[in-house]
Amino acid sequence: MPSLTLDGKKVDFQPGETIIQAATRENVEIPYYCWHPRLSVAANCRMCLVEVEKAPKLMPACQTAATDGMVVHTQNEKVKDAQRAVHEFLLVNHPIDCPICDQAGECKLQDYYMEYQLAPSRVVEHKVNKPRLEELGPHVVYNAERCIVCTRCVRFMDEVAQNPQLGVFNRGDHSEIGCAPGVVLDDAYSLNTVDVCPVGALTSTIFRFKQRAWNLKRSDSVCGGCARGCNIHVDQRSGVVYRLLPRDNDAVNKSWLCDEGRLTYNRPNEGKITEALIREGQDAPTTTDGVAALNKAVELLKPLANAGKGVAATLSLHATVEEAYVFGRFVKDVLKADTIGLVGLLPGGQDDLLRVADKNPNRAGVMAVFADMGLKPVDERELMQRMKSGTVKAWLAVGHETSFGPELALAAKGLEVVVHVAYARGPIAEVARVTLPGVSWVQTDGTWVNVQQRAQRLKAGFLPEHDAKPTHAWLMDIASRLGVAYAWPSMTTIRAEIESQLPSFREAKLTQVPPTGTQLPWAVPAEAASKI
Amino acid sequence: MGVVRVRDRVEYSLYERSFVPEILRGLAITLGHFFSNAFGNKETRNLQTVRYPEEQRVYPARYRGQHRLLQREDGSSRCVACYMCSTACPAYCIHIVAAESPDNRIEKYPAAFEIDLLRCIYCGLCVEACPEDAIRMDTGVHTPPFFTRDDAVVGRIDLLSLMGRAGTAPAYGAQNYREGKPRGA
Repeated sequence: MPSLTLDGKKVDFQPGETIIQAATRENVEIPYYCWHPRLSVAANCRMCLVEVEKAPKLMPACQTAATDGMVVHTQNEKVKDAQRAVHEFLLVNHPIDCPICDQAGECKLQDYYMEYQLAPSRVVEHKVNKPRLEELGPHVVYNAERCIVCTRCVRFMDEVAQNPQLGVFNRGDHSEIGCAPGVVLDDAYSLNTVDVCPVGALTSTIFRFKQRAWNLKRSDSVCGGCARGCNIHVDQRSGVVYRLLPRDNDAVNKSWLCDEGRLTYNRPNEGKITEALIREGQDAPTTTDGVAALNKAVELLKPLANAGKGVAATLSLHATVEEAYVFGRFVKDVLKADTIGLVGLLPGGQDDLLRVADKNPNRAGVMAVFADMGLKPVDERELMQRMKSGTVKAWLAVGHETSFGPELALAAKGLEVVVHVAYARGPIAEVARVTLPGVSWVQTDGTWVNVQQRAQRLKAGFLPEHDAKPTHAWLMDIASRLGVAYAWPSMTTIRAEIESQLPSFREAKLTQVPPTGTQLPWAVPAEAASKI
Repeated sequence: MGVVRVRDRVEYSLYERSFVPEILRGLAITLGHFFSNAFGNKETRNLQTVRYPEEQRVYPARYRGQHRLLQREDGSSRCVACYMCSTACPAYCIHIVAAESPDNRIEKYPAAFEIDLLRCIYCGLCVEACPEDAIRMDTGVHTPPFFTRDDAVVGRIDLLSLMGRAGTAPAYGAQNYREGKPRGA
């Protein structure tokens, strides 16, 4: 294997790699703005200049191919001088309006200034004025003054989104990013340009001015927008989710996330309930104490538990594998429901990059659990049919994520008993006798199986508020009051039981899913293919 | 080995042992203070307290009173909703909601700016943190009394309506750090 000498250390590399790739792998930091591991090389920011022995001048590490026997210096005075000078040039026309810039706190200009420049400005001339509020598209706002014209966004649209809507206009220090006349940045992946922007030039309309970056707490999760299950970071503050950002996963979404997925950031906030709802007679539901609601739910379910006739239990396709298993055990051991239903969202837009038509993030996982447990679920139409014909008299609805909410609620009006577990107040909560407050997917630990049959872990970003509890905790509470005590003190015990009980998950190692997920040995459907 | 030193007992005289004259002497001092403070004038009396609220102490120039938000020339708030004050605040008492400014020369403005005066510890870090000189504590006003906790939360309009104490620098004075530098254009 060829090798080069990096700051006196011998570093092996694959033929065709550049200096920056070899250095990144060795954890040698070379600063860069325009380079991106998943985009083509532009070498226009000049921040990654390094000294290569026998080369006449400093070389950009992002563009220079590593060659055998090359001697590279990244820390000597010549390189540091160049970094200082390049950074000073980048800041010549930068407005330095950090206090009102959304990028502040996660801005590479700020980080590199502290790291590589740290010198007062010597610029006495007026800065070049450019448009500061240009709406490039429905989700992206551009501030040309802050832009360092690294063209990452342009290259993203050209190469990854395959939709060249952006370009560089004008020359010299008047260069700016923009759309050609008549073109709008309305691609389904346009918000990735905001992510790749190393400075605050591109901001997203959905996050703009909502919060400062340093106030947000970050947790790792999976996007619930469709069955692709892109890996994401969830940024929240005080229980309010402000944005979803892509998390690198080579097997699923690389570094990208579609706009549709990002816009689901508000699902955990919208109509969120953290207190139980109870409904008497024909009144609207009123909030009540969690224990009182649980007692009421038990009182309503008790006569049904052993009757076994006319009882429907439905689960949302947004439930985790663990929740599906607990739900399956609950309806088999406790409720003995004769109608099992699965509710979910209708198919939506798709493309050959990330988005798939199925908008339910865990269809594969829930279906596998149900198949292994011998449960034969019906869909919403059949469920409504049975409610209207009187075959179903009582309904335990777990999860509210369904496109048929209003129709189901209308059909369920005549039922004697409707018990609901949900994290948001939807149409079903309006007709339910008792609604127990659940938690959304960003607040629960669990596993989702995406369309590629990859088991991926959700991590609870913050604790449930007030009386809210995860679905499986509510089901276990009801079960114990109806005389069935499950011995699952933790999520790990549930996962271990799924591994030992369900044949589909025998090889899954659910108890030790790594941050980027594990591929399950199941048949992968054709729609899982992606060109990303 | 320590040395034990034996002392003779102090013998008190009958005058001392009776205590009565000494008690009377103490009472006389106390009463003397009482009457000199009750009827003496402000300059001559040696009392440290003031007769609030008829008399009020003159606060030092840098006394940190209730906060106020400063205005631009057109009367709008100088605050640009940058959250620096709420970030610096050790008591977490400043709540800001930023919004897109209707004036397109200004990027954002505070749609809500609330200070919970019950939480505030009057440390003045918000004033130091402000890059726009938009918040000051130069009103010289005490925290007013409240009847409910909600009353203690003062909003943007209240904060904008307060004025600085006489003698404090105006908003557009020599201390404006942007003075002499073009802003934007």
